[in-house]
Amino acid sequence: MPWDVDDETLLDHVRSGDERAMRRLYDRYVGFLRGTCRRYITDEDEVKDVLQESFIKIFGALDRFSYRGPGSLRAWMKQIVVHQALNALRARKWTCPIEEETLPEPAEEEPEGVETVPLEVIQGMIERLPEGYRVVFSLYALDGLSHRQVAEALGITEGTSASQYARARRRLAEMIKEYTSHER
Amino acid sequence: MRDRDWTERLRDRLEEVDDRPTPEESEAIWAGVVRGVRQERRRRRALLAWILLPTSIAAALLVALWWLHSPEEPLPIPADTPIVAEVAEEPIPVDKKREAAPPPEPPTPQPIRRSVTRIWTTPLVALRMPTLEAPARSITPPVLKTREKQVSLPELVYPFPPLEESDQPRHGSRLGLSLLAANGTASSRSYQGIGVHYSAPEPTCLMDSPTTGDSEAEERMRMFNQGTETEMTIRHSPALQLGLRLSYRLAPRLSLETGLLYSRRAVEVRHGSEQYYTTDGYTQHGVAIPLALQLDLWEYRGLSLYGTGGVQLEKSLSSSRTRGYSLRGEQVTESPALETSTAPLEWGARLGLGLRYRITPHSELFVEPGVTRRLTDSRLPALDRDRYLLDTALGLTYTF
Repeated sequence: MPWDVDDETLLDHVRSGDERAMRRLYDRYVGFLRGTCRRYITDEDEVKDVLQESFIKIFGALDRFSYRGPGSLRAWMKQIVVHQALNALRARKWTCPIEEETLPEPAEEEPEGVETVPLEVIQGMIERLPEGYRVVFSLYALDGLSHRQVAEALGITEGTSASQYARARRRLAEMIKEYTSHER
Repeated sequence: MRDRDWTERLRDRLEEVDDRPTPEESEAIWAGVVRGVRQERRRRRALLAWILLPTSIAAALLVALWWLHSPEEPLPIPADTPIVAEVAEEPIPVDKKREAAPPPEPPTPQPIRRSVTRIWTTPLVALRMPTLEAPARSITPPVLKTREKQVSLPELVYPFPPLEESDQPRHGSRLGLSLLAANGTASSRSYQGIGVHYSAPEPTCLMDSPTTGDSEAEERMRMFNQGTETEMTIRHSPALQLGLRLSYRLAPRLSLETGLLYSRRAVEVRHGSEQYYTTDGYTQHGVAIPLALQLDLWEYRGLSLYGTGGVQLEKSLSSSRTRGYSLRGEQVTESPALETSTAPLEWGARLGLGLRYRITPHSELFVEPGVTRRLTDSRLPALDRDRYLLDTALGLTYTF
């Protein structure tokens, strides 16, 4: 089996019990899934545990996954990792910290040069956000949940989810602006 | 929408993130994954075995029960066996009978099938029913296989006179009281409860005589309905199956399914004219073990549509029959429900179209209307008239 087979072919091999195909699937997506996981969990050991559990779940549930075109496998695996990451947060009795800002909130301006900031820098900026901001921002903006779903997942109100998201976005926009102005 | 635009662009960029662990970390994670996947597979196999083993044992027990309840081949009767008018009045204890039984006779070239009072054996009772095609006499059975058990029965009331077991079987449908718990055969088209048997020589016997055939009530109904048009209506109550199914996924859309379901079927036969008619109601309760292939057709979130097809084994655990008549609009329920639990196994082929709703990753609620083609005869002759039975299965599916 060549390395560049598409996801569907690779899936067929994995489902037939081919361990080499499993390894290829792991190698193909471990980087992306680790990046996703690190937006929720910053502790490296915990990230490894979550990744390991996620891949066990993924290989155990592949029989029930129906392929719906390019990107569907990636999205499905990402959902599992996010779910596992939230489970890990709940397991250590994590409650979403509500970040209160007493300073007046300036009007937000769209950061320029989002496309020019290197990926690892953006990833680092997100990781540096306060925990409550980071988790809400990731769930809502990056992983596509609604505020209602975010509220249910984190045990907060929809209003809190919306306000945390707005503050996280503002903070991130400031970081990006600061970076781009410094680079100039 | 401006701010959504930049976060959307950010999201698109983050889809390209490739934050790989170091090779050592990657190998460590992979080793844990392989270990976990193998453990999960072992756990699933053990769970599957844990569930399939009792199912297999239950199926084997049902087959064994069926085998024990199956009628034996007619015993070869020597040509010089004396034919007597009636069964011995004083039942002899089984052991004595066995002792008194004559030694096995050599087989004769032409066994006297027609005049044999057939004997079937069960672990509980000796079962006997006159052969329907038999002439008006029976013979003493040459060998009595097992114990007999006397059963006291309620008498049927007017217009059905008290019925007794007849040793003079005739052609045509008949209802008789049997002093023995009885078992029926598919070929005889017979219905028997503990102490009551109903038999008819033709599969369409109910068209001609849904009830007793030769009872006083039947005679009266015929008399009342002379010169008027009579008709028969068979009404099936909704057949229902309720229980647990186990599903093993063979492919993403295909799974193999078995399980254990409670099954209920009921039918009412009404025969006669507008003013004078008899009714027979039958209800059968049992368990069903399906073995089917299931194909997922459509899925949306937790809801899925599927088609299923396979075979189904059913064991009737109890059945009941009530009889009634109506004279000029006055309804009378004639007999209390009479129970039996000695039915054979029944096979059927079933096709269904169902809806499932996922409640946990492995468990789904299902509702599945279907049609069953019965491959063997039922205990209830009224059900035999309609080989295709519409039914609905409800319950919980556990998927591996």
